[in-house]
Amino acid sequence: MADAVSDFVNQQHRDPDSPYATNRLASRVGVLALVYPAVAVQLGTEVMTALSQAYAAHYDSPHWDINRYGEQFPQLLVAQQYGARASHYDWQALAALAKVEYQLCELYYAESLSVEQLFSMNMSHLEDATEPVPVDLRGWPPGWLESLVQHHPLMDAIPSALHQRTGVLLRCNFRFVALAMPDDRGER
Amino acid sequence: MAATTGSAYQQCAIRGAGLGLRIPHIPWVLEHQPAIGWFEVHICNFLQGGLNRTLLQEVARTYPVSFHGVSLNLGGCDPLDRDYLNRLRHIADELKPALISEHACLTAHHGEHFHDLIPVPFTHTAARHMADRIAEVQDVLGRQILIENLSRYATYPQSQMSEAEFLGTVCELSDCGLLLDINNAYVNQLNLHESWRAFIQQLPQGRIGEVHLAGHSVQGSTVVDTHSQPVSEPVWQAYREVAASLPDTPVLIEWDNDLPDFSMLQQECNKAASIHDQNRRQSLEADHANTGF
Repeated sequence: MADAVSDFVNQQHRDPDSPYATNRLASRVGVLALVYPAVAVQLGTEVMTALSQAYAAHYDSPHWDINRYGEQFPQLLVAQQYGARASHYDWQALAALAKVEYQLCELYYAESLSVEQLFSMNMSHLEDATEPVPVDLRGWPPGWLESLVQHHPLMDAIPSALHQRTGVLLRCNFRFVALAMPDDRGER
Repeated sequence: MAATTGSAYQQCAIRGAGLGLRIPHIPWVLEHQPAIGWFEVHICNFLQGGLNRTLLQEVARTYPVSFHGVSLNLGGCDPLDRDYLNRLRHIADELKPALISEHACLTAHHGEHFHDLIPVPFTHTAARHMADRIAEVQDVLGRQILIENLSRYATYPQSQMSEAEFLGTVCELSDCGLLLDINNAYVNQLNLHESWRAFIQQLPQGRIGEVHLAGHSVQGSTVVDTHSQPVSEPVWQAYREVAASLPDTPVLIEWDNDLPDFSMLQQECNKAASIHDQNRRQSLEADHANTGF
């Protein structure tokens, strides 16, 4: 039976016209689009698609949880500083943005990362911030934090979940989530 | 199709039409609490914990829920993932879903997870293999599960029986139930020329504990089960036939990709509820007429 399955899987995944080959690629690329939407905005559709397809072609999924896929994508971004488009983007900054996006998914889907850990690692500079939050954070280019807030699909879900878990009522804005967490002072 | 009564799965807590609840809609659902009979969640997204699980706990406090999995790899040759299974048991013990369902397929092979539903050969060996793994899952969970028929785009030359015969054998050997996905059967008719009606008629009707409805798309020369469209009219028509013979069986609308506003999903759910409820009323009236009450 294992041989029959191996033959079937190999044949279908090697056939570019097979829906199984299409689904395999599409599911991986689709996950990257969901995990890294703010990176995608900065790169544009064409470059993001090309990088996603390159990543999907070289990285299998070793875990049943599809939300874990794409952890090495920031490294692929960093490596582009030596590639043909080295001067087109700030690849180091894009990799930093990508790491935050991946950690947002970990926060949402995985118990291994606590809310406090996430914000201490990436948003600790917001502890002293008052409204409005400055947009030039940790050396990110202006507008990137807004882009993250606007485009990441978990931006509505995370405040809602935080409210359920902690009782802290937050506005649906990631900056206010970050501001609310250090002292847990409740509604602002 | 002959009318069937007495399915063990009809004793579960969910009735009528439900909706597949997707993550982008959860905050809205918790805030507005729309009138939906029950929700089904892709439980693989909730097994690792995290904030997502907090939201599911809140949903389960408000609505009946069922768990639908895509990662148990019931037909696969790699060992069953005990960590996954233990996590599933833990959350099932906590939230007590009305139903737990999976797919009659493989989802991983030689350590690679496909995040896709790959068919198995329809052989006696594969049926016994899948049944043994389902029995193990049911032992761990302490309850029966349902297994869903697939949309398939290729066939194995080794197959010895039809898909319906295979599923019936697996159910008999493992004492599990069936989740009938009508769109999958219809897609198979379009791609593989296997009659959806013949497929359903050959299934053990008393084991069907849930019905799924979803939309499909045409990609080149293939019809793909994309879950990105409204339910097609032929699938609605097929559901009308199924609902007439299985009037107590709960029905679910699935929509996963190109997710529209919740109101669009609610319209689809209301349409399914209308068909379900009409057939259930007619069934009850027929029962009353036959018994004289």
